[in-house]
Amino acid sequence: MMIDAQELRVYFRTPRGQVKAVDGIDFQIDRGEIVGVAGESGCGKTTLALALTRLIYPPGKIVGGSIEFEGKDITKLSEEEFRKNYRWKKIAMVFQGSMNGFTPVFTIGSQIDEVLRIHGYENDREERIRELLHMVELNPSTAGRYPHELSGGQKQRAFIAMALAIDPPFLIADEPTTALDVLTQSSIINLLKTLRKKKQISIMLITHDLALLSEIVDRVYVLYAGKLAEVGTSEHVFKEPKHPYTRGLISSVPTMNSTSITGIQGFMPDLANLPGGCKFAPRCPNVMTICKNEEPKLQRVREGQKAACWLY
Amino acid sequence: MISVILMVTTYSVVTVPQDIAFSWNNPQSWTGNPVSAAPAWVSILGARVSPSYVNSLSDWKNTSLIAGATTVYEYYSNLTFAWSSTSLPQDILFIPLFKGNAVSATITWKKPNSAPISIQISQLESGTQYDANSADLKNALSQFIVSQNGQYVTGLTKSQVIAALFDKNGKTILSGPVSTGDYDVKVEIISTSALNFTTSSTFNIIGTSYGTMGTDYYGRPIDLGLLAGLPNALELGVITSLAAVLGGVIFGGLAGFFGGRKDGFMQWTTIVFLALPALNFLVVISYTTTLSLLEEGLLISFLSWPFFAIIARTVALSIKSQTYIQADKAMGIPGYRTFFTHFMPRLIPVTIAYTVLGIPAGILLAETLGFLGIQPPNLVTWGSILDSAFYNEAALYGWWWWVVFPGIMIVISAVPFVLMGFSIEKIIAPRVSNK
Repeated sequence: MMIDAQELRVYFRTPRGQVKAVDGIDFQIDRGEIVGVAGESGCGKTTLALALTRLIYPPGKIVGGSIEFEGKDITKLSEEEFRKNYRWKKIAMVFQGSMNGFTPVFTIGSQIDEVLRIHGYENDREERIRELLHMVELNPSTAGRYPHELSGGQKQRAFIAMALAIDPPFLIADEPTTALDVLTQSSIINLLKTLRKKKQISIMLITHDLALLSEIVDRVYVLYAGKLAEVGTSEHVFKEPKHPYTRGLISSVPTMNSTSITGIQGFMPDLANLPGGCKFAPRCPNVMTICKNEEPKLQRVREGQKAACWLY
Repeated sequence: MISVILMVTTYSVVTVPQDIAFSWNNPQSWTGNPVSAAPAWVSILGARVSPSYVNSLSDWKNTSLIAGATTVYEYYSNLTFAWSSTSLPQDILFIPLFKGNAVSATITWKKPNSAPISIQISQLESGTQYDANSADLKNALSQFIVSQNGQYVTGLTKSQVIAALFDKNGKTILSGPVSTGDYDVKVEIISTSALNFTTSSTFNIIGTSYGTMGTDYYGRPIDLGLLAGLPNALELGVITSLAAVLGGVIFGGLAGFFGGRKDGFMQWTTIVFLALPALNFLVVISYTTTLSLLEEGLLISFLSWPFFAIIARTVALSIKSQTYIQADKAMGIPGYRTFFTHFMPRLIPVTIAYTVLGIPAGILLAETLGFLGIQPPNLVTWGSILDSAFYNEAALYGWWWWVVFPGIMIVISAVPFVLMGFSIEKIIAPRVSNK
């Protein structure tokens, strides 16, 4: 197991009360696996990713749970030790809107070079930069350019190149394709696929684009209001979703033939002021009495699929 | 404008004597000057003022009263000045300077187109100040007045002496119009031994106007005071501003950079210092200790850094929220590197702009303190000039030049820095200013 997070809790202290952005989530990813994390905006996808990279800033805090990286609990490491041995070396991240992840005042090449230098890359760094840019299908001359000279897709790819600089075994891609057109999207998704095939790296792909997820991931985590709604292999979850929320999500994906889209009624509850019982109960089409009083636990529905719902 | 100020400062440092502060506060140093005199140029504007003449008698000729006599010496020197003003001067001042023993002197005062008046000075001594109040002048001139209007004035006043010396002869000698034209003055000194005139003697006509900026109640020329005050005003402004801005920007920048609990504590510290009433604090400190210029500057900056800390913290926080800062952290780039590559370049222009803007603020606060009588000893400051103007009720007596010129100087020295600061600010924060 590459990453094994147990009962992870990330709370934010706000004047309105505690916001439980991630509330007791178990997350696993194996070597060479692509795992998708889906859910609507504000459900805790990004917070989960940031928690795995220990990038939670005050007022946020990891209040409970453990994150084991190859058997070692990284929440217990000192910041300096984590920075030296894990950041970017073992866990790299492509940020949400990482086209802004480049400092505007330095060239792409010098920024990649800095990362290589910081982490003590010993071989020819210029050669490595060329190799990386080639890997993401960018012209080597891109190294000499400033971020504003590149298009959004190019920047995104350049950032992926930077993320791969020191061959991290684990890559978090937080909505890597959100702001891009469909063609660029597919080229980036193909790039991730190739990477997995060639380098056996594990990829955690965060997106609310279910169509894209079904295309690429092995397993999928569906989050709702900071909790796991459903977990399962791609085939199971997309073909036969068990949780009403997952069903709703999938039915909201527009297809070529359909004339109208069925969405999910209502909005996600305020994370600082959650309802008792099942968090999805107020919007659930299959709501029962028990849903409003008791919170369902994530349990096995069948081989390779778990759901947190009183229906099963 | 800045370059002009710097040039004037250099000129001031070069020309104003080091011990100006000592002589400034010593009334003895200014006896030769007119008191509360308006600037000389106001006569052009039609004001009724009389000019001041600073004359020196250096060309002494030696003649003998009796040919061949070896025990009687006579020296004389001539002075001619043109008097065109229709108002009387304040005073005249004669200070003979010589080595040796003189017996007496005769001043022959010849008004334009009139018979000369002879003024005897018995027991002439080197270094004595003979002015319109001295007994010899009063004796000679009361007789002259009698000869003109037939009245004997007992207890002749200083202004009557001056009137007798400058008004047209006749019945109206004490009230009449001023006699304008060329005055001839001859000073003769009689001695029983040879005299040595190595130092020039003084024969000043003390008018009611003086120099470019006039004089104050003690006869101190305002322009000299302003010149002497410029370097220390700038020095204080620069020290204050540099220390406050550097300290504030570093503190605030770090607070914003750290974030979280450290930021909270640093923010709290900033607010505490901000809440200190600077002026009261400085007044108390200055009454208990004597501060040097440097110490005063540092103390002022110690009380004014929070403003800059708040600004720098805001800038740092806005940088911190950028994705590339988060990316840097995820990349494992050490914090100090992030600080130097991302925060410092953005904070430095802010520092420069606010340092420049802080200089006039420092000058203003320093002059305010000077006005309150709080300033390093042995310094002439514009604040202290204004303070003495206030103390001597310059406004009440209409001595406007005592108040206006120091005020103008403070403004003139502040404005260019403010303009410069604004334009730098416009360059570094175009979005804010171009709205």
